[in-house]
Amino acid sequence: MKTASLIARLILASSGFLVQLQADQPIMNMMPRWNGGYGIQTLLENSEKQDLKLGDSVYAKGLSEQIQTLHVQGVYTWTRAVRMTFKLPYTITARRESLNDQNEKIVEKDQGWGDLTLALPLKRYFNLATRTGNWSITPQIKVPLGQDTKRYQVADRLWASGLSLGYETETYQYFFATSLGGWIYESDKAAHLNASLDIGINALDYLQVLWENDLKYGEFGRLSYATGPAIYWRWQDHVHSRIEWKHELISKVSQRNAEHGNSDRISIGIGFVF
Amino acid sequence: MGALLSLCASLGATPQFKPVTEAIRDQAAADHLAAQANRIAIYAKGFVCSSCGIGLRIHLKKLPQVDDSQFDHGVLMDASKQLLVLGIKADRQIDRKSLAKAIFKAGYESEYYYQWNGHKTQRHYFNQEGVDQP
Repeated sequence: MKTASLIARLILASSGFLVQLQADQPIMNMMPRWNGGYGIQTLLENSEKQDLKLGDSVYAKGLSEQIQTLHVQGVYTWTRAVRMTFKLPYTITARRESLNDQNEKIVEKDQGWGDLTLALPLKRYFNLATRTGNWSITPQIKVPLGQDTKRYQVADRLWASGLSLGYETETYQYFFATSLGGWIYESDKAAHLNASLDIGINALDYLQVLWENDLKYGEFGRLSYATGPAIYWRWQDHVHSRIEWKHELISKVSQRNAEHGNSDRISIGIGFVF
Repeated sequence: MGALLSLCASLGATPQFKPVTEAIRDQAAADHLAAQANRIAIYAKGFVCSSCGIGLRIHLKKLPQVDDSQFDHGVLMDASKQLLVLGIKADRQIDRKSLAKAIFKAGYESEYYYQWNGHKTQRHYFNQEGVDQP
């Protein structure tokens, strides 16, 4: 009972281990590369974590967490080498089942705007005979848009700084992208590293089919690997869509704090670029 | 990769995996120009993706020499051959420097262009005509 009580407290103190489209940049991780280009996109994301876990073990099976988020994101490109992006999530509904001090099931909810992420992707493009691509370095900052309420909340409500390095290349037939990044938070929230590897086929002139892989490593033994397909398609020059699904094949949460794991995530989005 | 191909097939898409060569591009340019003097075709180095290349149309359609009554705002984009086909107004000279600058602003490099010379489609290099990369 004492252990259950301790874990229950740690659940409340834990700020989670969410990936939630952190690595991708608008618009659709692809555009605009032209001078003066700008765009905005919205992504509707549904994330479901099946179990309450401790480390690699299921601590309480069936105690789940569901989060529906609307992401509003934008970009402006000065030149091909310099662009700026913002990402602002809005939690439409969040529902978490966990245990209280008496080891009884409790349900908590959250709603509202998350924290603002600003990024400055700096890219070095290359154009070769049959392919193009770029190397990138992206400093990022996360700005809390609210106070830490000390209860269940999806947003971190902490200042954070991040940096990611990326490489992508594309031919008329194939697409490949990889990145490595990390975040450090202002307080004692655990820092983490994330890596991604995406491969794709340009199936049609307006249709790209991808298989994406996200790996995330954090303090206290946190490790997750999520993989799944994504489809991008262009309706016309200015209107673009994307749908993706990711399933966690490896879901090790903190060995100190019980957290929700074994997630499935699906997102669908539309973007406008000019 | 097998999973991706299966997904493509289920979407009814059959990717083409034949890489473009200069001979294929030459033939495509000749087909696009089709003995028409009011068009040029430009090889934009790196232009392999139509979605990434939208900036080409955005920047090229602003040029006064581009005839927006042809194609889509005067620009036909053929990413499979890395070719841009432009409609050119009959009363306008081709301003090669502004074309190269617009292509650079869109994120690409202009290598050479094709033009109908009255007898055949001829290839011209920008740098040999005094137009360097911006």
